[in-house]
Amino acid sequence: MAIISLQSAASGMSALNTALDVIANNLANVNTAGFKASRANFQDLLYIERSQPGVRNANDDQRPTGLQVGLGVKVSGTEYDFTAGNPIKGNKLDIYIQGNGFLRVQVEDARSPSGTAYTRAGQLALNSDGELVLATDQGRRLADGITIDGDVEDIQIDSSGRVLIKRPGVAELEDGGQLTLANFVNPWGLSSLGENLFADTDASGPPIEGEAGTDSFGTILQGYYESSNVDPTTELINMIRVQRAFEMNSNTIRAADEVLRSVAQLRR
Amino acid sequence: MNYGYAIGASGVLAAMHRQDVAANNLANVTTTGFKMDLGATVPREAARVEDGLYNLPSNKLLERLGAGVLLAPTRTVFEQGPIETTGKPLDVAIRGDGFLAVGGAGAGGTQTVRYTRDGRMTLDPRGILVSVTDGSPVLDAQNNAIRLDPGQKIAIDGDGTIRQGGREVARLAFVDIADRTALRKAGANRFDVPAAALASSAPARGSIVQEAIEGSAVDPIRAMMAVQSAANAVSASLRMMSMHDELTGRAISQLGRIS
Repeated sequence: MAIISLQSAASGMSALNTALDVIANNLANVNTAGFKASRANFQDLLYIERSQPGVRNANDDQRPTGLQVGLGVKVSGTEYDFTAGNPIKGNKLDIYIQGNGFLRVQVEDARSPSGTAYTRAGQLALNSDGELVLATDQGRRLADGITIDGDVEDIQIDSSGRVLIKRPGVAELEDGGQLTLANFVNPWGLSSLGENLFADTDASGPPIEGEAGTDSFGTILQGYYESSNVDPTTELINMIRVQRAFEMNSNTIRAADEVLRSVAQLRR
Repeated sequence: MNYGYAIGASGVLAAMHRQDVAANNLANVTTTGFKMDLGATVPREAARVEDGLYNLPSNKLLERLGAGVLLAPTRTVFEQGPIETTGKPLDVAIRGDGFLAVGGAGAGGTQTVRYTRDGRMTLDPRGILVSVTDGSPVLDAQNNAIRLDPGQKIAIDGDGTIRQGGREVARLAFVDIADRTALRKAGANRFDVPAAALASSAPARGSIVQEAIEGSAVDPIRAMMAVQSAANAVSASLRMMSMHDELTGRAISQLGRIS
């Protein structure tokens, strides 16, 4: 019987350990542009019935309630928090999506068979071929395939995601292409690929593509990027709570161990 | 045989049961919408009462002889847990009385409705409102699944009415079950409600708070003390058993000695 309390405590410690891992990763990414915080969701495990409700007792009355003992806790999953981060003043080519939507990025990754990944981290740059890429060490191309070559004085991205190029000595802006955003029915079902990228899954549903500012898509703000949406205070409070809960479960193990030791010493 | 053995053993088993229940409470100290269980015990009736003997002067000794302890049904304490704001539009907490309804697979492939205080929801690829724990649909007042438009802002009122774009699109089932003792925990933060108890259900008096969740209602200090006090009770009962053991040993070696 004390074995059950040992198991409950062990399940608690392992679940809380996972929660601590999630918090640690959130805190580590407190300055990562476009990062979305996760939380570990807990649920209680099944209950064993030591006696069923409704059983008749000696007086022929029905027992109104059963005798249930829980078997502990588990992490049912982690869930992203897709609330937007704050716009932070950045470089000329940084973009911030005000509202829903993800930028589409080309990837070669087995985890994303469609070859497209999605990100909110709009820190863009041009590579040596003049292609619009993410300003990460991988330099991934945007899926819209926008190339800006030649002599460029200025690049403007308007709120609908249209890229406009100012050539020196030319008054009119040249059309450089259109950024398309993607949205998902269930963004919480996206899977993370690292590098601030997400891949669509069966759970997220297929991407719904569209221009910024239309339908449910947000608008684009040039010159700003999205900060991490991790709130360090909340995370630290959660960390303290998880750590204390972990300690209490380790105390349960000690108490259950005490019980088992006493029982073992019964026969001298 | 020495009766005290059996009494001591019943104390050990009952205390271990209490420890199991308290350990589960402590393991769920951070589980959303979790309600604390009480591992209750009842004294076993005295030998005379249990054997149905008459109240005779000669039975007085049996009257006074206790018979140890039995396990009583586990009771769940439906105390309000702390409301924690999360800022996620599809998280709801319940302040006061009330449960949300969640569909799920029951025994033999049937559909069953379970009740929960865990209001963490999300949308599945079809836009259906589901529980985050295992993707079971969260039901409306008519026990149907709810389909929402993912592109529009979702507002949930205090009575469970879901609004999108200013229009009422659905209403969460939000019921109170008067007979709380009939609720049985089914895992995944849910309760099974027998049909008889469901008949006593009424519209909930509590209110739904959007962008928040109800934390675990476990009081960690009480749960910790319950674990430790159960361990102490086991030690004490075991000590009684070894005393009886010693007594029996002495009876064998001294009383029964043939000199």
